[in-house]
Amino acid sequence: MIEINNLDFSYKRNKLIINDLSLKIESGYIHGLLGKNGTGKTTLLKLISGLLFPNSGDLMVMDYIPKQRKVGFLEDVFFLNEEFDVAGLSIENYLKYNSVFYPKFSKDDFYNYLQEFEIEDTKAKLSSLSYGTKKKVIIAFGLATHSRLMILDEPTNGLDIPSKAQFRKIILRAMSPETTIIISTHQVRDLHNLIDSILIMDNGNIILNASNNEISSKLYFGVERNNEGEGNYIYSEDSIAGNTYVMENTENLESNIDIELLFNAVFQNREKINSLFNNNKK
Amino acid sequence: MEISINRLFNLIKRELKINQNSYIRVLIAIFFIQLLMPTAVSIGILILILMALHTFKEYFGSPSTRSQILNLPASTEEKYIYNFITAFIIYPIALAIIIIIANYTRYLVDTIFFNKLLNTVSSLSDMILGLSKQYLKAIPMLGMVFFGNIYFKKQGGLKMLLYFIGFMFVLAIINILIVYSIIGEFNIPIDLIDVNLPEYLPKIIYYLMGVFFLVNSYIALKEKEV
Repeated sequence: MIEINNLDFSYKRNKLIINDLSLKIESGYIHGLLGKNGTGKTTLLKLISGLLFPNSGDLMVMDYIPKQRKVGFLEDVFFLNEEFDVAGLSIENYLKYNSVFYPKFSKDDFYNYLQEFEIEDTKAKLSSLSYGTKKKVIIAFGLATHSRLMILDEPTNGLDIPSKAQFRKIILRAMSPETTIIISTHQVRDLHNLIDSILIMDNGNIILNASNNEISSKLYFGVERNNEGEGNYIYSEDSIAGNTYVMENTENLESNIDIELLFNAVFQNREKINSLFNNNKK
Repeated sequence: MEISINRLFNLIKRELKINQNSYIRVLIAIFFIQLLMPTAVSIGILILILMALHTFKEYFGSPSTRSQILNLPASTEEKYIYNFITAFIIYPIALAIIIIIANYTRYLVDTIFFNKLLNTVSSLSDMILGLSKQYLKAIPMLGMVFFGNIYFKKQGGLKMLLYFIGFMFVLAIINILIVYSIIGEFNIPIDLIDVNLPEYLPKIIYYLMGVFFLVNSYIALKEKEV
């Protein structure tokens, strides 16, 4: 689906935002792109969607070069920017004047998604809606385009707690083997039970790219009630439940991935994580 | 080159719908300017330029506005042509219609309320001819606006104004050089300022610049980033 080799990008001459990044993203999965603020997540997504042009390196998305912005490419990529602009159109008119550009667009799906988000007044002007509601409309629109690649930059920002649950439900329902979704966020809890693979970025590069299966097979996530650490944790932290920890899964135990714990483990003990995931990038 | 008439039509429809309120307001303003100041066609042309500026706000607005149009599934060529058609064909026609309506309205008002007689209004063909002349004069300027607003990322209007001043400055220098080549000195006597340059020369420069801006607009749009 996406293949990136030795990609460099900078806004200013001397400061690389994306630095020699190589990455492969498979289709049919939901990928979570995580990272601290300012590590280049949004820049990478804009490069993938053709909104920015790389300084050097190769970038192929569905056999297209994004910077060429071919119609076929644009029809199959939907990019939800964190900050978006909606014209003073009603939801109905937004649908009418934008859906015509997407050959696979389904009006029924759009209205169904709106219903699931509990948006009923389709005559309402988008500009008069709250930020969260606008975002729901755009997410519903994006999913109804049936684009093969959905890129969502901080999609849960501005959504209330019930809407976040609805968002997860809708995204899972919209998935198909042809669809790939990349969700970038720094609110890692919002991705719980949603993503199939995790990409973690730091300093313009990917420092972890692994599927949930791979993570579960290599790492064990546990809680220790009495706080008597065994000392061989990759990372641990105190929580209300006790001492939560990540350790190497040497005994093939099953555990649920704690994304936040994994995220912190990657930053606190990068060498160990690198050695486990054969990732030589620093 | 990917060009579909259907997508072009949809782009124009979308653009007109999104900005319809602004356009209606501008056209009403032009109607009243023309109604109250019948010799103000040149003001109308200026407003036309403002309208063109408005069209391209998607390109020089905030990054989020730009990403909307850049991500819209239409080719660069279609986005270029749709902007061109809107700025160079649809707006001038809308402007011409509103000016003609305003002229006839003024004629009717004069006749009915002030009992003035018929010769206050030109014939339709004269009006169209006059407007066409104005339009031809405005083409290179529209070309500049077209280029500037596609090209510049931020503060397009201001940068375009500076660009325009720079353009006039360059034209003035070219004129001075031409006069120098004819009379052989920089200290031009006042009575020679009205020197008869070959008529075609300024026109060629003017239209070459127009073409230059159009070509550059396309290149700029193709290379546009958020």
